[in-house]
Amino acid sequence: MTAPEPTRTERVNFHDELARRRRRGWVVTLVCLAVSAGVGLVLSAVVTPIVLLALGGLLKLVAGLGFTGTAAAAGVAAIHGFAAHHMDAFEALIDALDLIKGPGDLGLLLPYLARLSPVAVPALIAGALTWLWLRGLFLRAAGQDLVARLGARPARLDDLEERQVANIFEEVALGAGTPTPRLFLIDSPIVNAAALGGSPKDAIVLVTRGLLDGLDRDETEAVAARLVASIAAGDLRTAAGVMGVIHTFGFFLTILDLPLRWSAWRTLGGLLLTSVTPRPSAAAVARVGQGLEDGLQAELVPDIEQVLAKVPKPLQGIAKVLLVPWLLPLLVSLLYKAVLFLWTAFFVGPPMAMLWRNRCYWTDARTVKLARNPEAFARALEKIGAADPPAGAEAYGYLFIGAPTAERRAAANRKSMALALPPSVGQRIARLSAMGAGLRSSRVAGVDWTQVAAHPARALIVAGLTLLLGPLFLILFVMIGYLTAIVMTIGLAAGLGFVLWLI
Amino acid sequence: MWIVLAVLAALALWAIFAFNRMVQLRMQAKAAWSQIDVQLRRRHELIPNLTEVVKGYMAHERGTLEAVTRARDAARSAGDDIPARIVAESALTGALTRMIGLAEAYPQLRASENMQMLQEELASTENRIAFARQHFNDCVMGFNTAIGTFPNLLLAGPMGFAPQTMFEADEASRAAPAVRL
Repeated sequence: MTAPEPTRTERVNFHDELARRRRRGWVVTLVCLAVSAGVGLVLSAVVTPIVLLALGGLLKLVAGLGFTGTAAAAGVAAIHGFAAHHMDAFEALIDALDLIKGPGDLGLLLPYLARLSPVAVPALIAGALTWLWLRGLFLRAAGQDLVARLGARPARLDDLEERQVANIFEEVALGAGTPTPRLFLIDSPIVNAAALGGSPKDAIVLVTRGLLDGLDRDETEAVAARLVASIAAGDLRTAAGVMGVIHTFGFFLTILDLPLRWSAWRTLGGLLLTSVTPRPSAAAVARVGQGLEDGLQAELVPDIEQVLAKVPKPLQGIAKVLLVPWLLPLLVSLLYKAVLFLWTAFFVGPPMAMLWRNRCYWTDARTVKLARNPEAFARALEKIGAADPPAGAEAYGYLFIGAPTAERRAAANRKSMALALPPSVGQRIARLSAMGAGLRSSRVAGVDWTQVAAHPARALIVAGLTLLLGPLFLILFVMIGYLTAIVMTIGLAAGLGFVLWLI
Repeated sequence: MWIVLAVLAALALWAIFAFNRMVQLRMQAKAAWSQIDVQLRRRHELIPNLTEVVKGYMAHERGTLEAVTRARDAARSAGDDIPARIVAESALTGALTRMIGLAEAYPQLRASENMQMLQEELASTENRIAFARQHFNDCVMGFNTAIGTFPNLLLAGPMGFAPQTMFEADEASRAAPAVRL
């Protein structure tokens, strides 16, 4: 085996790279907004009844307790009317399905769909509010509390290395025209660093002692420039927004999981508790975040087996019989969950990851503009590699410079969506090489199409795979579509029926 | 009638925003310039400490030390006259570089913790000056672009916004090697 040749890249000026990333950032943001709204629209069939039930239940409780009785009663009546109106619209739509004789007649459904569409509004409002709530919660927690939790300490200015880092951050902040972020050190041999906090004014940078010992002055300066550029560009808010979307979907999935697993109750309880605590601990918030992400990723049938396993052997038969009344809600919940899961996995996750990755490259280009030393930054990235975040900060891994990428995450068998977001170090270094860093023989993940075209045999294999996978994906998408249609039908019919019955 | 009024209101709003934006950019550039000044002064204040530490080890290099002190005094007295200031500061940079270069030949001095700390401070200050200058130039570029592009262009001239000059790295400091640790 010969050593791999250095990867060749097109050189690009960092101004052009910045402009390209800015344009792409806009496009991806728009795509993400559209996708989120679209998915929200589809999922609203599931979510709206939940929202109506929760709201109606609350109002009934308030009315029952006697506070502001008439207003609450009016609210209940309004919800009832809303549900009844859309139940009628839904039945009209179902009747209209008989009119469809071929694909050309699908246009006939549009007026019925338009009449039904306001049913999405409560779900969309609830989704937006949940997003704001969760984003705010995690933005607040990813600051001082995380610092305390990681056992970070301020830099000792009588230590030469630490004095140097403090100086470097002040220098770089001058270059970016931002206030110097507060510096905290973690006594850990891991080589990593992170920027935290909601705005440039209360920004915090975390640096491990391992980074000071492992990197020279230029490399440390590049890392500092990366963190300061990320703070100045408002990456923290973007990250919180992206994670907010993921957590919002996780939140609704967790609600659907309530009849299925105990941990859903625990997560929801924790979420409410951290929301009402004035200064929730970072540990508690991180646990809630992990719980919400688990809701997104958990296997479809989680706790029943465990519950059954705990029951003594002779009683297991009785326990199974006792479970029978649960089977229908269980089945419906499973279906809902399957659809929500498929939609988040296929249509929400990828654009969100793309948004964050573009942001990451964008900030890398800003770093080059700030420190004018792509080579040192590439070297620093190589040294940091795919380092783990320090112990205790796993839930905030995406805020660290070196965060394990998807492959590594799979290897470690972790179930955190947050860790799947950052692009691979190899790809980032390739972009830095394009901006002037030395060429490296790092292998860049992905398909090199020029290589494929040069080898007819490989081209054949790729074509064959495409031919094979294309129909498979088509079938998959059709199945997702059918499943979605079924779930939307059940969701609207059963959900609105429930609302009409209970409220 | 209403349409005309609406268009006029929109124009007035745009003029207010554009004017404020340009003023804001000009203030940013001004603040960035004062930051360079702060960092240059920081360097002046470091020098007495530095010569004090070096004196004990480098008794033979009295001339070099005096040159540094003289250059510092000259830079301090240059005041706000920018071209004279730039010349004096680059003379100081040259004298400092010579002194640090000579200090390299004294192993005891190099190993002294005090000296290491001072050298780090000096290197950091040089970097700060460079970064502050970069930020100033970024700000000036932003301001010049803002007043030079359409439609702000229409407003900038009558309102008295003139393009500013960047702070180019002058020949003297370009020739001098940067202080590195």
